[in-house]
Amino acid sequence: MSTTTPVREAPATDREPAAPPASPRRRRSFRPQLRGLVFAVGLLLLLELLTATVITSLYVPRPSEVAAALGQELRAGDMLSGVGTTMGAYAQGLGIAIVAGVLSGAVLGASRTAWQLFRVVIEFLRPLPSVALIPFSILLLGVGSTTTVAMIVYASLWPILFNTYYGVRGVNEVSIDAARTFGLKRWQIFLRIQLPAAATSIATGIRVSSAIALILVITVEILTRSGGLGYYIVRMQVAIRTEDMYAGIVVVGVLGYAIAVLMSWLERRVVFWNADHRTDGSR
Amino acid sequence: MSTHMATAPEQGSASSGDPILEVRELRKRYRADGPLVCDGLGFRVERGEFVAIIGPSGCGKSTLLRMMSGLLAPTSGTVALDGRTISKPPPEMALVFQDYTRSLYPWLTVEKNVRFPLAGDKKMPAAEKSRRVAEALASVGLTGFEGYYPGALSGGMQQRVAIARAMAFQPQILLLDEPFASVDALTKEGLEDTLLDVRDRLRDAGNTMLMVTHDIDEAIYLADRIVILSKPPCVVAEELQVRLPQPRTQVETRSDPEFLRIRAYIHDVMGLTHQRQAVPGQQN
Ligand SMILES: Nc1ncnc2c1ncn2[C@@H]1O[C@H](COP(=O)(O)OP(=O)(O)OP(=O)(O)O)[C@@H](O)[C@H]1O
Ligand SMILES: [Mg+2]
Repeated sequence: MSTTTPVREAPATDREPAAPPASPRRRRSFRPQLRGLVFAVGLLLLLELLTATVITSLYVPRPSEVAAALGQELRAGDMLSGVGTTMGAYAQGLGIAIVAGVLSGAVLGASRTAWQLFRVVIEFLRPLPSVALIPFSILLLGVGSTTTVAMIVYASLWPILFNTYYGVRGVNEVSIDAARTFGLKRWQIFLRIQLPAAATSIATGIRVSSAIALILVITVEILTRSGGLGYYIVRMQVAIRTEDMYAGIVVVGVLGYAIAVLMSWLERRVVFWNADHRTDGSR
Repeated sequence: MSTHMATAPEQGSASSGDPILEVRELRKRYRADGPLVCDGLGFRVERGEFVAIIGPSGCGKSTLLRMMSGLLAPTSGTVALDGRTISKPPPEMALVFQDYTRSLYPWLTVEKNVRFPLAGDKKMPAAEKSRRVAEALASVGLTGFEGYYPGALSGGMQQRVAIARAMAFQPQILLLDEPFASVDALTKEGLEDTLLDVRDRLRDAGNTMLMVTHDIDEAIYLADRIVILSKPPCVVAEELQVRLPQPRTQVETRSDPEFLRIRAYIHDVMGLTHQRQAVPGQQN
């Protein structure tokens, strides 16, 4: 070869320095999980097929019948008001649990004395199944939304309280030391370092409790027959309106799913710096 | 053991009677029944001086800096700042931590992280704070990354944010614990010169720097004096004056015969402090 390889020109030196990308916050595009969806639809079709052929029990309605019942119930508004009652109690209970859990967890995390004082009481109360407290609560608060809310608060308080406590306690020493060298006082370090650093842990607690609270609200409604979606389900069961009962159960499932999606979306937004808040397998 | 010994550079500690920092007989045990980490460390740092500390890994350099910055109480001995024994982090000092990732606040942007040490200062006008932050970020080459969160930066960039944060604080005494460990060679040279610039500019105000490094060349290039620590439990093995012309420049200083002489000497000393064993069957 006689020709020399062309030498690439050096880039012009007066070029603008590469500008850093403008949006530092990563936003994930919404990707429908197609495979999972197709599989779920496949399962439904299989169930439809089975209930149309092999399983012909009155107590196992066909998915299409349940869907029809659901449509009808949603239009009639009977179920919708149940959903309203349930979600009202749910929101109240979870809200109170969040405020109380974060506050008490933070106090316990900030003060060793408080922790030593309350520890035994907490360790005793925590494993008590909240359902076991329903009779007591009914005696004290009567049947109705107050008991429902109280039970939700009781059950969903602990994950939030403990996650706040361990989050505040577990803040790495270096970030606290850094703040100390900049002259921050103890309470400033607590507010400006320990609490924000605990936010990822607190968010996990709230996510866990958001699922517990739904379990509780439905359970209490079923047990105390105090209205809401849980009561609707029992009523339909007693009336042997199985399609409607299943429709109610489907709605509970949808609510649970929606809450889980909402919570992990919120978590991604609020404690965005935590790289591993999605390692629990949800989304 | 080495058979040849480079001619010793001028040894000795700070001579003037006005040390800004004085470490006396410092001993540290993390647990009462644990091993001694530092065993009677003592040296002085003069006002306006740049002192480099080198020593084998695990010998207690970070422990020493944490005691000097008032974060960790010594088991015995004292650290005195301007003649007063310190018991808590003094306001005239800042420390760049070796563990830079954990020293940054992941929920704050780069800009807010660097502004963090100034945030509590009610007297300083906001414009002055912004100016300092911008200046500090520019000096470590991170202009344009103000809105990023630390988690979205590389290790070397995070380390530079930590340096910028300490510089924005403008402490009289800056303690640095292996501040360039994760930075590439080229950026590192730039940052070394940045440190020297800051020190030269603020030298009259008593700006003093104390830097732990594992890079012997870096120590010689930057420092007025080098404190060499022994293997653990650490004591001061040797103190060297670095008589290299100022201002220092990467190419000239590093090829100065004196630079090479000090370098050879330190390698010898470090070899000794490592207690290198001759391989059996091999003759020197
Ligand atoms: N918090 C701690 N608790 C107990 N021992 C510790 C603690 N921190 C350090 N040590 C011990 O003190 C010794 C010195 O540690 P230090 O981190 O000061 O060394 P170093 O010289 O900075 O090491 P490197 O060069 O690797 O950074 C080590 O043996 C280490 O195990
Ligand atoms: Mg260290």
